[in-house]
Amino acid sequence: MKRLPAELLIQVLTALPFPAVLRARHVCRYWQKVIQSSVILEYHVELEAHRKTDNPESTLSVVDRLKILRKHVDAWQNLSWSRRDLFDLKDVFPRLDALKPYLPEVKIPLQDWHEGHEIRVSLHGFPSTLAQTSSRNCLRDGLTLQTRYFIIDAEQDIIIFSEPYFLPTQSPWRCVRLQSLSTVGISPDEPRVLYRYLCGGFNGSVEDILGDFVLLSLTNYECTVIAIVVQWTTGWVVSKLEFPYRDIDELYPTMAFLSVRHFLVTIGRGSDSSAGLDDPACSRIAVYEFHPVHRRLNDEDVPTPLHVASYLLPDSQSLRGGRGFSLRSHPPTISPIRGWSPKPFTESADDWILSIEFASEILEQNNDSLDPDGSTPTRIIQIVTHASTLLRYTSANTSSSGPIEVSWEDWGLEGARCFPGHSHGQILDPRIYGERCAILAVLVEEVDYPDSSDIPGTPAPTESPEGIQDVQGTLGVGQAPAMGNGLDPGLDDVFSRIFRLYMYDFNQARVRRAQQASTSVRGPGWPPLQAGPRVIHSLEDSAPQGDTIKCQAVDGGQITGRLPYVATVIDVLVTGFCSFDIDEERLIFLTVRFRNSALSRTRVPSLSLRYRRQCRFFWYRIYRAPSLPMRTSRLTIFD
Amino acid sequence: MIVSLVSSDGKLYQVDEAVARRSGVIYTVLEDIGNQKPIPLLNVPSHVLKQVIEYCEYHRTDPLPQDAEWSGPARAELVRRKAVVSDWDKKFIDCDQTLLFEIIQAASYLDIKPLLDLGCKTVANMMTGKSVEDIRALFHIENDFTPEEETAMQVERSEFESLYNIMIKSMAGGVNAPVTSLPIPGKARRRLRAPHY
Repeated sequence: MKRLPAELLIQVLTALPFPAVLRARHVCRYWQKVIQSSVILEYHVELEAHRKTDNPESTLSVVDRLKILRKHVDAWQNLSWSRRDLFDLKDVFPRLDALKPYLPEVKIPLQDWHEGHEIRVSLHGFPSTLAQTSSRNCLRDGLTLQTRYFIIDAEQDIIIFSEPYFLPTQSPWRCVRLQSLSTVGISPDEPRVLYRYLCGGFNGSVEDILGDFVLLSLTNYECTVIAIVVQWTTGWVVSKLEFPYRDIDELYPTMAFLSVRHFLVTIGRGSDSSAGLDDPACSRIAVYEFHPVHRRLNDEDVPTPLHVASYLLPDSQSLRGGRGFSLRSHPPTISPIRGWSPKPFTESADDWILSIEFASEILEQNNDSLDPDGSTPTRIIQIVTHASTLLRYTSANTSSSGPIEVSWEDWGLEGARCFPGHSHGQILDPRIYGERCAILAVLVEEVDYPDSSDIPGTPAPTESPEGIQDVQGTLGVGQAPAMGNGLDPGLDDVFSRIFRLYMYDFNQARVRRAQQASTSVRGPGWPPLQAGPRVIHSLEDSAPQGDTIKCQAVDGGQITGRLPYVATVIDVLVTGFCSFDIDEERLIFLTVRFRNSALSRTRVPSLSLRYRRQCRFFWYRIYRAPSLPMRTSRLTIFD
Repeated sequence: MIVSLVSSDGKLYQVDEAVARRSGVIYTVLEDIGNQKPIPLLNVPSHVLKQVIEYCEYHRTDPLPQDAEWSGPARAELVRRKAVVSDWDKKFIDCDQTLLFEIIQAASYLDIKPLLDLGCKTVANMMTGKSVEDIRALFHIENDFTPEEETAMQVERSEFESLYNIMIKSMAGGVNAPVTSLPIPGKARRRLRAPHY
């Protein structure tokens, strides 16, 4: 038989009833691949589950039904979404070869790739206006290819053209089913059943649940991220996090490192092989982001998260007709926490590019417990790290009594050691993040701001800028989650030590890029970036040279600021609300300061900090409650 | 108005524009660049194109399927449920297996959804109720599983089918109970509003 391409085979099989599809799986290997990696099974499973659970007349209990379903699902334990393994690409994309003669060679270095970067390729003399036609048709016919449909093969630095058929398609029903299932009374055994059901083919013991699992479902309208947190000791479904798509930017403060499009969440035990730690009481969410930077961090000897789970999801816009897709992972190899930043940060590591996505998040926050009356101008930066990291430091520095230097990469994002939270004190839920997450609370001196009447047009204050770098940190009193049962005694030591944080200027590559393309630097009249010292010990080391920038806030408020290399300080006079764009290229940290301490003490309920990581521009908006007086806010951009 | 189509082996076919527009691809091309020069169809050989044109000629007055109706899982349901295939279609599609597959591929390439569905349904019908061995024989597929795998799969099949029967019995609606449309949850619906930016 002449082989049907996979896409057509799927179409044929979709027209078959459920048992026939399962039979067809056994016809030959090719069919098996196609079926196991396609939407068909998902579709049928959903169909069956839907019918079953919506049928009140059924005599089977929910548990029974789920058990039956689980047996089905267990039969498909080979189900895997690592499509790259399953398919020879030529099988999957029969048109790929046929397309190649017509295609100019499209090679985009990964570091230049970013969302929204659009490539348009005209084929076979068809005019490029066809690019305006429906993208689905464009793809089907290979007329025009757009990056959002591309699969970036990070290992080869090339782009593989994807067809929408082969997006890992997932009906949005799964989410709905989740909701309804969760309202059903859960017997002690059921979480595992449920979990396996959700996993779609998971067939292992509780220990195998380690390091699993994310369900990401994107539809046209919303993105639902459902992280099923399985406490590995009990196998219980502990928590479920759901975020509508529009909330993705609000999601960042909570799970700051989640990228909308490419990420993998694993949940597992907190372990750190380099320190010999293996603590079953700690669960750990590790989020691996698929970003060009990984390429830079890739050390040949050490497996990187990219290898651990090389899933790439196309962006949500590519989904049509209400289809969504899911990403799930059967227990991936849990990479050592330090796996992907094996090298110490050195001066010579020129090619290191870290971006805000990977470095960390620092959320500045008033600390009422330390400063109840607001008299002492202190601020707290909370940096959340994994306690085992700190433990490693303390064990390595048992003799020294001074502050311990925690290098930058150890409070990075990897290993899920950074959980920046909202400014409402809900940073760490031990149920979710494990009990070993520690918070480094760093005291930062507050500067005295000028009066708000001085703000427009005047140069920014001449006081010494915020001494964020190289400050001594103490662990936040009363901020750390309960460190109770079953933790090593060593942790007590951890929490009694003082840590010193170093902040490195890791943005060299961006500086270089900006210099190379200085004319295209975005931003309202900002001078080009300059390369600076690699390690900056305080802002005063790179004191501003007096450049004053002015830009206009949306509502007419004047934004003035200086532009030192390290920090760009913009004072904003907030009248109604203002929103403005901040060039992502320039931004590493975003801190917000409010002159009005009363506002700060109320934890700024009216402040919504949104930034959109995947966009070129951060979008920042300060809301002002009408009842509050006019105030000065300061937006500090550390560059 | 006459549209010229060129098959992959270089034969020129001239059809009415209404006929050519049955194909989503040609429709798009005509919309975008107009009917100026022959449209090359690289993936469609002449003997297949002839059949496809015949089909389009016959169905030239049919309504063009709505996109929403013909996409996603709903479409599969449609395909499964739409039992009525006209006699002409049956006769048309009753052809050599190789040609059938070529027609399906051409329909996919040309984006002629009714023809694609007709073809897929025909193939699916050929497979319905057949055992694995029958399917292999039907499509001349070589069994590339090892004997061990084969045995394991047989066991799995029999287990599954008994389970499946139990499940079917437990469902009042049976397999073909309609799938109710799922409402968008309230929170999500609220989120449908335009973004701020």
